[in-house]
Amino acid sequence: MHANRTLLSIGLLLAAVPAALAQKNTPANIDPDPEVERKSFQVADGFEVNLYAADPLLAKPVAMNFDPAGRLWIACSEAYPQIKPGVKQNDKIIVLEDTKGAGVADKTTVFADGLLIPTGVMPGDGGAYVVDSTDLLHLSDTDGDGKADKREVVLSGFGTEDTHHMVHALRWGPDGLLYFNQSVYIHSHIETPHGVRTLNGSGTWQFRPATRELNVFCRGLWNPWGIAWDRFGATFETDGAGGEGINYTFPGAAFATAVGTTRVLQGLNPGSPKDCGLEILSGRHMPDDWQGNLITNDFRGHRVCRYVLTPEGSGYTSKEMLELIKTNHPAFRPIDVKMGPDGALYIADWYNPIIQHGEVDFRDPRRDVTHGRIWRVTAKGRKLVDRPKLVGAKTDDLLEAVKAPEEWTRRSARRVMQERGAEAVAPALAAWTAKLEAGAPKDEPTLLEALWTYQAFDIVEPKLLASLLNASDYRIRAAAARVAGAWAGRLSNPLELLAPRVADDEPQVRLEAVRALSAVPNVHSAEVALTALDRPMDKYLDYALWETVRELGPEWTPALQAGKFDYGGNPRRLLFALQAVGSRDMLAPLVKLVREGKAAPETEEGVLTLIAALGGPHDLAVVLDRVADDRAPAARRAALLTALEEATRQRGVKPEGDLNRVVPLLKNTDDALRAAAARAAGVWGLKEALKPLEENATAADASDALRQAAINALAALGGQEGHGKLDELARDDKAAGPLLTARRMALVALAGVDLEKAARDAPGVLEALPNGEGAAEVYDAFLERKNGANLLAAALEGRKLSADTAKVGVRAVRISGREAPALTDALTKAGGLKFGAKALTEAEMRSMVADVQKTGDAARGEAIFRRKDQLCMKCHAIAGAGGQVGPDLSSVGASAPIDYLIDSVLLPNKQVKENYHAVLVTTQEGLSFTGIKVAESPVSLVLRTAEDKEITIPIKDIDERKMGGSLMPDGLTDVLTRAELVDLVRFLSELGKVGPYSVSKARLVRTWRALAATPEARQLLQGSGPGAALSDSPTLRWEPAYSTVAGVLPLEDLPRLALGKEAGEAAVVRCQVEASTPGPVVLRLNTAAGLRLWLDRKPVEVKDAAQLTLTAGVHTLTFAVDLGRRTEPLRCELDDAPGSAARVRVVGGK
Amino acid sequence: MLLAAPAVAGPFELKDGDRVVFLGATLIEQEQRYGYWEAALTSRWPDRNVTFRNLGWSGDDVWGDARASFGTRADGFKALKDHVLALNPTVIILGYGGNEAFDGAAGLPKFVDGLNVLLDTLAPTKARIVLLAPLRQEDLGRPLPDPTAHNKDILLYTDALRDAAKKRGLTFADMNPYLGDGPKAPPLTDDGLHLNGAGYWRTALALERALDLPSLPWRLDIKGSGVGKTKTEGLAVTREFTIDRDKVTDDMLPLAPPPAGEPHRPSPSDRVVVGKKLEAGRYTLTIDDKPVVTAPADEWAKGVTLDRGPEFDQAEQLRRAIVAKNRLYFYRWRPANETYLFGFRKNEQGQNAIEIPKFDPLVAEKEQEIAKLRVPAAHQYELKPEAK
Repeated sequence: MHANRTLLSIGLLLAAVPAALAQKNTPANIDPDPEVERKSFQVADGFEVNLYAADPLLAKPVAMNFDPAGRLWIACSEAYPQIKPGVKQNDKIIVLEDTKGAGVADKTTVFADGLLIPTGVMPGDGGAYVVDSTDLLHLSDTDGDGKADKREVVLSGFGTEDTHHMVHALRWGPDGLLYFNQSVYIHSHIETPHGVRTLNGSGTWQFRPATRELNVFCRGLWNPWGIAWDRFGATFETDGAGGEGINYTFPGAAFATAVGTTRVLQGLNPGSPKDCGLEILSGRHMPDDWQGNLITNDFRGHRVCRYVLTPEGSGYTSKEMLELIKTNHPAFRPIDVKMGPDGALYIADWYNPIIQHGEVDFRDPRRDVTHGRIWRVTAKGRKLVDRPKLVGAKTDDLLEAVKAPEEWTRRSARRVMQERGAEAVAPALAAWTAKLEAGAPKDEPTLLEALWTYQAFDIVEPKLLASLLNASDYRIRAAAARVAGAWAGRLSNPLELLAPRVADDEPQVRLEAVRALSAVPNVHSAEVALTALDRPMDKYLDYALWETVRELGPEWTPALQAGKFDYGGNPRRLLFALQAVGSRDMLAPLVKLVREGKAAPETEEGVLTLIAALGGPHDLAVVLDRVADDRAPAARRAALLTALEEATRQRGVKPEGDLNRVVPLLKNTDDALRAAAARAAGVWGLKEALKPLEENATAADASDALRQAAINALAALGGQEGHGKLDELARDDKAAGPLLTARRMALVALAGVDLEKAARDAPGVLEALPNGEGAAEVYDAFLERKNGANLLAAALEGRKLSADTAKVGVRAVRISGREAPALTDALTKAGGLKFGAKALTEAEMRSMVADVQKTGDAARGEAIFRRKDQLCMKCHAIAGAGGQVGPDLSSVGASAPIDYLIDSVLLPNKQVKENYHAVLVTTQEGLSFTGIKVAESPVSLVLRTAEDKEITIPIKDIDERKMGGSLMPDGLTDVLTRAELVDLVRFLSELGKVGPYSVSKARLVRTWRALAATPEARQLLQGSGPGAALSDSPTLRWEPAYSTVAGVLPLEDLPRLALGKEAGEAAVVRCQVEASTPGPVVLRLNTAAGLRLWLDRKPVEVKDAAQLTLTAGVHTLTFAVDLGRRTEPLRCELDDAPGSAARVRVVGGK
Repeated sequence: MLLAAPAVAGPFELKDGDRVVFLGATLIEQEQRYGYWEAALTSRWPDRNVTFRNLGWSGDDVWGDARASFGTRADGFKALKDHVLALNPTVIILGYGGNEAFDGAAGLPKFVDGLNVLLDTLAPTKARIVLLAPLRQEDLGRPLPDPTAHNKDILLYTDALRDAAKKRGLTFADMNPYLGDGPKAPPLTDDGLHLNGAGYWRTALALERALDLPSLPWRLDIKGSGVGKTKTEGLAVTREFTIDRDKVTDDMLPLAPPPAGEPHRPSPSDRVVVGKKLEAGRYTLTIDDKPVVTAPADEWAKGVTLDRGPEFDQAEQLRRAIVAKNRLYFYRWRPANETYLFGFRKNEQGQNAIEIPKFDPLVAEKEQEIAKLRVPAAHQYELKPEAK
């Protein structure tokens, strides 16, 4: 009933809104004068911006590239996002020229028209490659009139499931191949003369037009609209829908969303806004401190952004600097960026107050279809580069041009040579290369250009390759290793060439060499690749090796089974290889190692975990031996026991022998080991464990995890005894503190074994829960089960619940995506709730938009956003801090119009972000789950629930799954007054705009944990002082707390611990930082007043700027705040210590 | 390679009211952008109302893999089935086998299974089904791949298609024998694999022959300087010309002219005008008073092949209307933004889905235009001494 009403109101709203809003906020309200836009730019010191071209010369530029003659080719689409019935498709490719060299385009040619949403253009091969929705075309002008008259379909079959995901970011790689990307919703099946090539979801294609070879270079990212190579061919991408800033990629890399892999890499700037386009600055016109910087566009936030990379291990760290351009001009939408022939930077400005179409109606009248700009950014007072004349130049001059400091010139010169053809160029290239001195550092970069030129011609040059694999500059060795991979099939000795590079001193070289080995399909390449483990590893290398070993699996696994796989007697190599392929048939050598006591101590846990994950009953017994062994550390025993328990749950395999050996562990002093034993006892049905399980369920000092495990085990052990105990616990109406938790858990567990009994006990438990805390789990226990909602509704008849507890219930029903009208009614009655109509009329919407702009107060709105009862931060993060269930809202205000924000708050199901669709799963057992898909492998599906919990469902257990709407239920904001709603929307609308609600690029701590003000915490701290919070006592509870958008943690939001008359009130908060490179780092506080600080367990002197020396890894900073002495909110920032090599990031998240 | 006669299927023809569905991979899909095949089949029976729907999908196979979008192979096959069945076809022209052949001999049994499942699935339509043999890959020299091995596999898969057609009494059509004299023939493709515009133009004739449709020579004799009279004796097939008040009304249009830059290539369906008993000198053929070709008397006596004129213009107009119709239908059945319009994000922009059926009347409108354009008009042919 409720759902039907909502649908109806959505329909009405949609019918009415767009036309109405058009009156109020049409593009006409924005002054389209380019000079007005230009003057709104805040440009980085030392730079200026001029207008290169503007409408009516071009409209809606989507992508651009220069040709070697210096002409700018632009793909323009007025049909985006969707061709309209009755309108002829007529999108264009436009060529702009600056014939006078004045920095302004003075000639425009329509090269092609009649296209349908061309999302990319790349000049080359006598014309241009153009994406025309499903097809990649090559268009050329055979009669010289500047207009294309020949059309060749080069490739066809690209998906169009989302028009801003279609093929884009066309670029020539240094290898002379054409690269292009597609995004997450696209599914492409492409026929080539070499067979059909498929890419489902996002990824980067690599194409050689002359041979029609088409391959996938890397996979994943949401919407990768930018790709660029640095001087040495290191490859980077940006993501217009993901939030991790710069992504470092290489052959075979996979990132979030990659289809068909269980493992992905992260971007370099998690918590960043979405970026579109990518260029790397180079050349004499750009100031020294901008050389090699990456420029990309935050098109939502109206910013042109700058990132600085620093090599670290086999990858990089990336730091965002102050913007090159920022503005509040609502139509400035920088989406592509390229360096030009004059050494200046060019920016394509799509110019539109409305972006994309997932959330904004295709026909929203505010969509601009007539404007577009190309901006040119120059450095003040620096000489421009003379535009090189490359087309028609002598080959010798082209060869000299590849020595230019400008990447543009080098790349364009190589292109001209490639198009001139190997026959014409190769002899000169050979003579010229011979004159350069192999091994001479000054000539090495030039020799790399020569190597790439050969690669562009598809001519294999083993000698040149061999010499560059030994170059003095490691970046050139890394580039050469990648070329070796591409040529591997045509080299006589690829393994000999690559083996020394796997042992290179520089990790980036090792990474490229390890990846290149996957192109050498034999058992020895796997053996050589695994030697990389003898040197320090990091996350990129680990991924690269894993991928290589996996790809080579068919080569080395038969050799292993035949006893012919040489892993150098190093169990670490063997373990890594086996983990990569994850095959049960491979276990024998590992079990043997353990039996013979030959597993190295540092690998033993890994070996045993792998045996537990894959082994049969006989193998698992080896692991259980270790669990039972008192001499092993408790944490390891707990982890191994958990692995065994999972083996039973997921694969139905139990260790051989006496399982009761785990029962004594229920009395171990280690909480985690006890919990693992409890879980195992439940899964293995160990009746002997009943008594100790009961004790653990109600022990005062038990952690929540242990309590939960014990109660679940009682449920699993079943029988009168187990279930009777649960019933008894659930009916204990005197339970308080930890026992109340036990009571709630018992009820939830009881629902799994006796739903009717649980329903009878439920109202009592719900009444006892303060403010609805923990109630969601109770409701879910009933909603998950057939008829559960009805039983609970009947039980609630005539009962009273607190409004909060009832509200949590209504919310749980809505989140579940299932119909449960009886329960909603019962909860509404029991909690005395009122739900109002949510759909706004056209007039109401108009007036609310006006009020948001006029009277909305962002500061008040932020306070509402942060209020616990509003639950916003439970699901949404800002700058990476907050829940991960819903989208990060850092730049939502800069991208979404106000009416859409209002809709999103009132009717969350109307517009749902990419990948924030709920998945509704029903299992074979009839259980129902709802959540956002986090990962999926062939064996299991991982969902993140509305409670921000990850649950893993074995695929084989899934009976039905379907796509749902948003996890954000309608009506969350029912309790807000209209004024509060207006403030909240105003706050959202400011997020990401230039001003106080744009996220600072400083490394600020935003995610905190605050010590909950429980009696146990008070008691502990009163006795031992705030330092006692450092103990891992399971009775302490830590709650999430978040800094404001401005980056401070307000003290009034923190739980206050009364520590007695003298000590007064205190709060304890902690945060985490992660050092990827160890060393000193500066911790900057707004003021040190009233603070005490511990780094991990060690007290540290608090200063406004304290230097901390960090080892590699994650560290916890704990602050005790004396609330009597401190009133200022807490602002905590990380800064580089002078001269320190340390790389430290703040850990964000929920 | 031999052309197998259809086993039980009668001679191929399109009947009034037929709904033809083209189904297959790139070969089929890209045809709609050029329209030569469809134009040839449309103009052959100008008095019959036949409509065509192209459901080709690049990269597809008998399992519907390319149509799976977010789903599985089974979803792709279901999409294929649903699309075809919803169109109530009476004729299905099926172009599969080329992609599958990349799996070589080892993949053949799998292909046969898949083909049989597909044909069983299509059987309830009771449509007359034509199985097209995949085209051989052309050898365009290095660095493009050497197609020798793949072409051997193509033959295996072609045999399987022929067998299936024979067993089920379906029409089998192999264009390969009519593609010109092997390596010496000008290429039909740019990459060895996919027909370009000229390729579709030339295969339109090959398709007619593969379907055993008679070639229709056309010859007009004009005696002396004056108005033409028909001459049908000695021709393989008698074409009926209507001569009424000095005007020639053809019974069908010629094939549209080849794409720009592509020469007219001789074919049995060429149109020849013969000028007899002309005095020496140069003569201009005018059609409806517009000059078309000028040649000396001895060439007219031998016969001059026409490659332009109002019939060709009309045939080109017809082809363009077909391409435009296909474009509109493409927007309709395979719209961009499916994710938002009909997919799992339809709750966001599903309201825009109401636009998509609005292409139906536009398709119907184009088909009205096609129905008019496929009917030849009357023209007056005259040979006159060249104007000085």
